[in-house]
Amino acid sequence: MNHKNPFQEKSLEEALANCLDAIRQGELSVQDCLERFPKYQAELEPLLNKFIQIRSNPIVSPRPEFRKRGYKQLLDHLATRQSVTYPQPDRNIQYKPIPKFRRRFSMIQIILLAVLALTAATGGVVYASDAAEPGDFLYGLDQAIEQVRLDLAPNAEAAAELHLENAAERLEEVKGRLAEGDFENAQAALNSYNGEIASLAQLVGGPGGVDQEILTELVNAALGIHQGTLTNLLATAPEQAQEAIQGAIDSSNIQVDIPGGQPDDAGQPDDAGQPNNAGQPESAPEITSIKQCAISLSEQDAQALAALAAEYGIDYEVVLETFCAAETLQQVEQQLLGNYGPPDGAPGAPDGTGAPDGAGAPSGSPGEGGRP
Amino acid sequence: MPSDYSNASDEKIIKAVIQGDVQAYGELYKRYLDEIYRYVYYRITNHLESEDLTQAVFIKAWDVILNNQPKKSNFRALVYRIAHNLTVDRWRTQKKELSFEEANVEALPASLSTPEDLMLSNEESDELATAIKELEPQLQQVVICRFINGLSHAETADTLGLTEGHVRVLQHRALKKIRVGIK
Repeated sequence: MNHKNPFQEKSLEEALANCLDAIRQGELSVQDCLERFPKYQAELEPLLNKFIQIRSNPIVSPRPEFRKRGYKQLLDHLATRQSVTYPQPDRNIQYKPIPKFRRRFSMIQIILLAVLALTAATGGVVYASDAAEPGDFLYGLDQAIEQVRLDLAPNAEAAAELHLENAAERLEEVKGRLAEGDFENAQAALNSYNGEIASLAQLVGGPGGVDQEILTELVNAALGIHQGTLTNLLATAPEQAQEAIQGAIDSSNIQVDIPGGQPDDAGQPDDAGQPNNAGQPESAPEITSIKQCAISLSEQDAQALAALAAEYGIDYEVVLETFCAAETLQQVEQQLLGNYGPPDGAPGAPDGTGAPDGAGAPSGSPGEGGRP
Repeated sequence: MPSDYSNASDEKIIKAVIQGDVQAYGELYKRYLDEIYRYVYYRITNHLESEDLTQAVFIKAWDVILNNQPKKSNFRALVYRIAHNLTVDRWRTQKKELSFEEANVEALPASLSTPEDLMLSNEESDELATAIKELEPQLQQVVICRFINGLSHAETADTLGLTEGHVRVLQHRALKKIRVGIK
């Protein structure tokens, strides 16, 4: 068999690579290498020496204080992360319904986490979340990871948990930035907080088979704590930050009344037990409550309703109820127009010709179907 | 009494880590801290950022191990791969925002020099440092992995998401450029 000698018939680059590997592994010295490649000796020697010099540069190593502190911080951090598990997306797996008592237990855990996180905000405990804050170079990565986790959330409940986790983290960031006098990034974090709460509200009021009762319990508990934290912040924040904080308080206030999430929703007088229920085909179940109506909403409809609520400046719950009693978005728009008049700020609102963007014209013909 | 993992193989330690043994993970951290730090540092040229990113690498690796629970795992390749990805992310973030160096260069303590400064201060390696710095990013990565941190072709390929053959080609190209650059 013809064994190829790795040190023969090489280009200079190959010779250099082989020598660097062999020297590193202690198989050869620089001198040995030069002897193996006599024709490259002149060029190889300085190159090898330069690489060895860089490799052994003692300055490029962690500072002693980081080595000591980093080790302890890492282990402390990991100890707190042990209880945090990310939702694992399983391919080709149908998610089995989780027994309600298990979900409730999970939600209680999340409430406790939220409480812990917000206690940390006032008590100085280190919140077991990513350390990157607005303005840090890792912050973009932190946000990207959060988004990926949301994208991978297997169901609406998991997504709601993540939104709450993120919202709590945003409040931590607000507190941290304000303490540093970094108003700009505090404002950015407050905006992100509002975004998290808006997404959460959409989830709770929207489609996706969310258990409204449990989510309402969770969201109310967490938002109540958020409000406490924000109120405390408002009391101590500099004047320029107060408007933004007040905005966040308003945001969490509005969302405490979760549409479709009231425990007594199922008892709406007009929607329980329609007489002809039994005769309905199974594929088209009768909507028997606002809650069910909310659950059966398509994402498109939910978004259109949210847009209408924003345009008319009314609660989502009101729009949802109107929608559940009506048949089309067009009818909802007409009813809202009749009840509340043209939405504020709509182009040409006074004469009724200004249709809100993306939600169909309030003055449109009835019965044409208002789906976006 | 906590177990002593100082003589244990990486695989044995990872089995303990999967059981949630944080102390075991500490041993892996000690083993690979220097080289991961060096890998990160040569790419982002700032001590403080390198420290943060190095920590992030080990936290991420912990998550990967616990979430995937691999039966066989090359921890070294894993942390290099994560370090590679995080440094790439860091560059992307920097491109979007104001250059970190631009924003912070005056705030940096004078003692925190860049690798080029450190290497340029050494007459033996100044030309080589400059030549490496002038390589395209991928060639730079190959040189750092292969000849500064001493990864094998396979480990480098794993880290950079390339085939071994591709690594060999890039390595050849990089060394050729370095040779020309320091002539």
